[in-house]
This record gives sequence, structure tokens and C-alpha cells, in this order.
Amino acid sequence: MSEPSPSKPSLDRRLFLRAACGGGLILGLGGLAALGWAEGEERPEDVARAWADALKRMKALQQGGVAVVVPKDAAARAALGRQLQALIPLMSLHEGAPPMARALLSQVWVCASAEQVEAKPGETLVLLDPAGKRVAGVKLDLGGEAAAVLKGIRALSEGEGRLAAQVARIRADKALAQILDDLASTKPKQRQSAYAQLDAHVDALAPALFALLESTSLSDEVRANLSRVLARAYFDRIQAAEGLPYGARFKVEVDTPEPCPPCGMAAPSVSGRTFLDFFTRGR
Amino acid sequence: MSPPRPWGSRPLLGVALHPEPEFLLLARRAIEEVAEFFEVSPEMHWLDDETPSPRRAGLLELIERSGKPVTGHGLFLSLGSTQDEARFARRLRQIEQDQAAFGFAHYSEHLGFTAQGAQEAVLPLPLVYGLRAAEAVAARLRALPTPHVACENGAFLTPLGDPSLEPDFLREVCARAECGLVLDLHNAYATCLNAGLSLEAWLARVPWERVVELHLSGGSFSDPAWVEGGERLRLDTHDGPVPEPVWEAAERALALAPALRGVVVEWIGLREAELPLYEADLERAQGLLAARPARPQAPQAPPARVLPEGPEPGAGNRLLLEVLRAPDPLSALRAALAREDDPELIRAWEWLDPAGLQLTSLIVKRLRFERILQGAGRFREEFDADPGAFTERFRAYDAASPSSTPWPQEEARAFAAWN
Repeated sequence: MSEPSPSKPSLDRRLFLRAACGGGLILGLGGLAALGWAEGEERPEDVARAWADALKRMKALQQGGVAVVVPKDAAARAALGRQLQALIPLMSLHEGAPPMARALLSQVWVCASAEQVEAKPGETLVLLDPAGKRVAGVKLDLGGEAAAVLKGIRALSEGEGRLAAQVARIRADKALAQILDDLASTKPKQRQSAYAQLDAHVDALAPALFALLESTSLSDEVRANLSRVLARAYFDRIQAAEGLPYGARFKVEVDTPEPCPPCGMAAPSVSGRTFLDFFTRGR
Repeated sequence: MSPPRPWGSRPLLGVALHPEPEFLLLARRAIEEVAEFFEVSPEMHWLDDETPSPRRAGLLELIERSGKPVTGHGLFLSLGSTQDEARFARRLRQIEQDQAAFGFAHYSEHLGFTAQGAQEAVLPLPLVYGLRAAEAVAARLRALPTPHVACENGAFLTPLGDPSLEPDFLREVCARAECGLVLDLHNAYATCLNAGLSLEAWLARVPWERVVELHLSGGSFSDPAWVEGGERLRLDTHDGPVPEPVWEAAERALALAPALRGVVVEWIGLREAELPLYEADLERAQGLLAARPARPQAPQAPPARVLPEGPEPGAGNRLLLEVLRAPDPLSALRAALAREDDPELIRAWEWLDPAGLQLTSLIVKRLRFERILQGAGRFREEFDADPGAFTERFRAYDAASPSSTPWPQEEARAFAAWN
């Protein structure tokens, strides 16, 4: 295998992207994963800044948090950085919000020291209340199989009636409750009014929106739009952290159709491929 | 009005900009540090004839901030159509607005036809390579309201008439329209592979003095299950790395095209795992451009091949659309030819590739299905819930009512009304 060329950047662009984008989803991850923290010194100033930002955000949104406990050992920190990067899905708009987005948007995620969040020995994640106080902890192997990691995270953040409590807290705000009711309304005018307000409130509403998605009484159209709203919120977090080329920003409307296919139209979409399977079977 | 940004005296390396934010995020380094100009397909930034997409503003902002030149690459002007003056006028008005907003340095459009009369196929479909079709295409190119105009060779799955005539047809079109040629080397590769032609021989007939831009992209082979007989054809899917024969053709082309302005690397639906391959393609294209001879020389033109007169283009287009819409295109073709009395049109079908015809029909139908899903979220949900039932609904809809719009929202509304 040849030596890497000195003129090329040594940082893998994909890892960089995940780390940079992850910074908008897990406070402190940018430092942990990409900026050398993982490989060398402990960087207490990064931990302190991320923690302060997390407290501010939890208070503003009245949302709980999930602290990722950062180990003291440098090699373990590096491993954690890689595990978290692997957990963060980069793309989402076409297929709705990815499963991990539910956890990342419903709580404020932050890298923290064991002391800051009163983690017990071996705990890797600590659930926090909106004031940043410990609620519960879990010894979850974040490098384990993705489905098991997701299940563990969901059990910690939503189990034991915690999701219902989150939704109740959101519904205690009359304006937010109205948006949720309008979203589930059968009247298009009320739904449109809710969509118009979602931009400003999607962060605060996220746990309730994910809960609403599971409602069986929701129409397909509302479900599709809601799914896109959440995907867009997820993308906006990524966009805010990494930014698009030249600092441009893209506004993705809830009910805007996907663009016409570009040249290279012979390429089927995922749905297009499934369609072809069924269509050719039935001829 | 945004005037075209300065281009410079040497050919530049371009990146096809897609409006998907995911692409822009992944390709950030390529866009900021590697691309010297951008290619935009303007129709992707409209919701219908009148309404710009919200993403258009983001793309305009990005291009404005970059200060880099931009070219337009049209999708469904439908160069080879006839008898659709109102549609053509609407398309021209939109191109005029796009030219004013983006300031294209040049504008190219795909060879072929995507609509005839009120019927839309969206996919560029083959023309019979004859003098009448050449004049129809050239007349439309002459009408384009953009500073420099070019026409791009196609990647057709079934030829109408002798497919080896395509370079001669392009020469004829470019001469009549006094325009440039965008040479898509993967399209040429796919055409040759599917028609059993030699790419080298095809390239030898290209009017090199007209070539203003090279397009490099990857492609794939069709699934054998899609056509009866299990044949696999090369598709211009733009979803993978540039294959080696296309690189070899590019190296050759760079030494033969004296008027070349740029080379564009195109990749659709870029995924995270593909990023290293995409960046490697860009780096290789950069290297080829840097090694381009200082004074490329177009070879002496080969002896001209006389193009046939060809049928009236509208008649050929109508017949092809009718056949493609049928549940069994081959049977429909046999029936249509049995009642046809234009010998030129009948002769054109002697070159038919049955698998290519079936596949073209499938792609046109699939594109219509995808427009419905793109146009309304509820149909995406319905398809996901029961793809088999939804496909049968689509089959009945498509058989009952031909498509009359290229726009996803309008197609979804028509489908909803039919249901």
C-alpha cells in the first residue's frame, strides 16, 4: 500500500462531515471527534463550553437531555468519537427522518464528563431533566449493533412513561398544544395553519411530533408531511453545524414536491425500482 | 439581470449542481475547491410553468456567492417536437427567466423529443436521423434566447433508423443551427454498447470543431428481469464512477476539440460511501485537463454520409409515443406499422431493438409513476403501504390517460382526480 500523498488532506472527508454535522446534534462531538481532543489532551474547556450550551438549550426548549459520558482514557475517547459518528445519519430528506433522528431531536445531546452528570461507574449515557439534573443512567455499548443501540437509547429516553411525560409537558403550553391539535385536524385550513407555525416551534415540539407520527388516526397525507417536517428539522441542524457550500442556506418546504429528475433519467429511485419489480411481474 | 460571469481562455472543470441539499452537503469540497464552473438543469428548480421552487433561491445564492460561471443544461424543451407551439413558447419564456436569473455562459439541450402534441414522456426519445428532423431540431435551437447554444448527443435504448448516423446527424444539426455540441461520452459509450457499434468509429465521425463541452459520468446495466428475454442494456444512470472506456474517450476528445470550453463531471444521488469515488473522478478529470495539448486540432472531417430525408418528425414521434404507452409495445408496434403507409417511417423501424423498446417504455412509465410520488406525499405513503395495489392503480391510470405534464405536482393532481 502506498504512502498517502503529502499534498492531500489526511482527514477523511466523510469522517470530517460526520463530526462537523454531529456538532449540531451532539454538543461537544465536533471537538471529541475531529479536532484532536480524542487523540490527545482532555480539553476541559471544550467540555465546559458544550455543557453550558446544553444547559442553555434545555432551559430554552424545556426539554430533557442525554449526556454521553466521555471517558478519561484517550484511546477510549477516540473509540467513542468513532461510535458516535457512526450513529449519526447524514442524509434524511428523501426518506423522512432516520430512526436515530428521533432521539437526537427529542433531547438535547451533549458530551460530558462523568462528574458533571453524576454518572455511575460503567454508565455510558445519562438522561437529564431540563435543569440538567440526572434522571437515570444506562450501561449501553454504543459500538454495538445499531438496532440494539437504538432500542437502548429509546428505552432510556422514552421508557417508563417518559415520552408521555414529555408530551404532557409540551401540551402544557397552550400555543404548542394548539399546533398539535391543528396538525391532526381533518380540516385542511387548520393543518395549513399548523404547518406555518412549525418552523418556529419544531425543536420544542419534536418529541410530541414523533409521538403523533405513531397515531393510527393520522391521515397518510398528514403523516407524510409530518415526516418531512422532522426530516427537515434534522437537516437544518446538520446545515447549521456544517453549512452548505459558500454558506448558502436551503429552505425545504413541507409540501414542496421533489424536483424533476435530472439528466440520467434512466436511474430509478428506490420506489421506482420497487415499482418496476411489481409492474414487470404483472404484465 | 445577471450577466454571464467571465469564462477565461482555457477549458474549465465543471460540477453538475443538483438542488438536493444532501448532495450539496456531501459535495461541498468539490463545489468550493475543485469546480471552476457549475452546470445547472433549470427545470429542476420550477414547480410548474410559473412557480419557482423554494430551492431555486438557495441555489442562486450559492452560485452568486461563489462568483463562478454557470451553464444551463435543459431537460425537456423537446428539440425534436412539432405542432406544440404553445408548449414551446412556455418553455422558452421559462428559459428566458432562467437566463436572466442565472446568467448562463452557454445553454445546452438534449437531442431527441420529450413531448409531442399534448403528450409528455419527459425522457428524451429517439428521432429518425434524417434531414427533416435535423431542420426541426435546428429551428428550435436557433430560437433559444441564450447567448451560446449547444445540443447534446443522446443515450437511446432503441434506435430509429441507422444508429451509426448519430454523429452525422449532430454535424448536420450543428451546421444548420450554427451551434456547439455537448459531447456526453457516457451517452456515446452506452449508445455504441447497446447498438453493437464501435465507440472508436462513432467518435471518428464527431464534428470535433463544434464540441464545446464534454460530459463525464457513470452508468449501469438494466436488470435482466425488466425485459422479456432477460437482456441487459447500458443505461445512462449517472450514478457511479466514470468507466474506463469513457476515460479513454475523454483523453482522446481533449486532444481533438479546439473550441472546448469545459468538462463536466455528473453524478446523481451521491451517497456518503460514494464520495471518495466522486472526488477521485473529479481529480482525474482535473489531471486530464491539465495534460491537454496546448493546441488541440480537429481531425479532417471524414467523407460526409448523406442523411436520408426521413419522415415528418411529428409522425415518427406520435407513433413512438403510441407504442410506448401500450401494455405490450412490440405488439402495438406491429399493429401500428401494419396500417402505416410512409415508407421512410416503416424503414426507420428496421433497426428496432425489441429489448430497448420494452425498456424505454418501462422507463417512461416509471418516470410518470415517480412524478406522482414526487408530487404528493400521500401517494408516497400509499405506495409504501401497498406497492402492489398502487402499481395496479397506476397501470390502469396510465392505460386510460396519457401524461400531459412534466411537472410532479400536476401529474399527482391528475392521478388524484382520476382516482
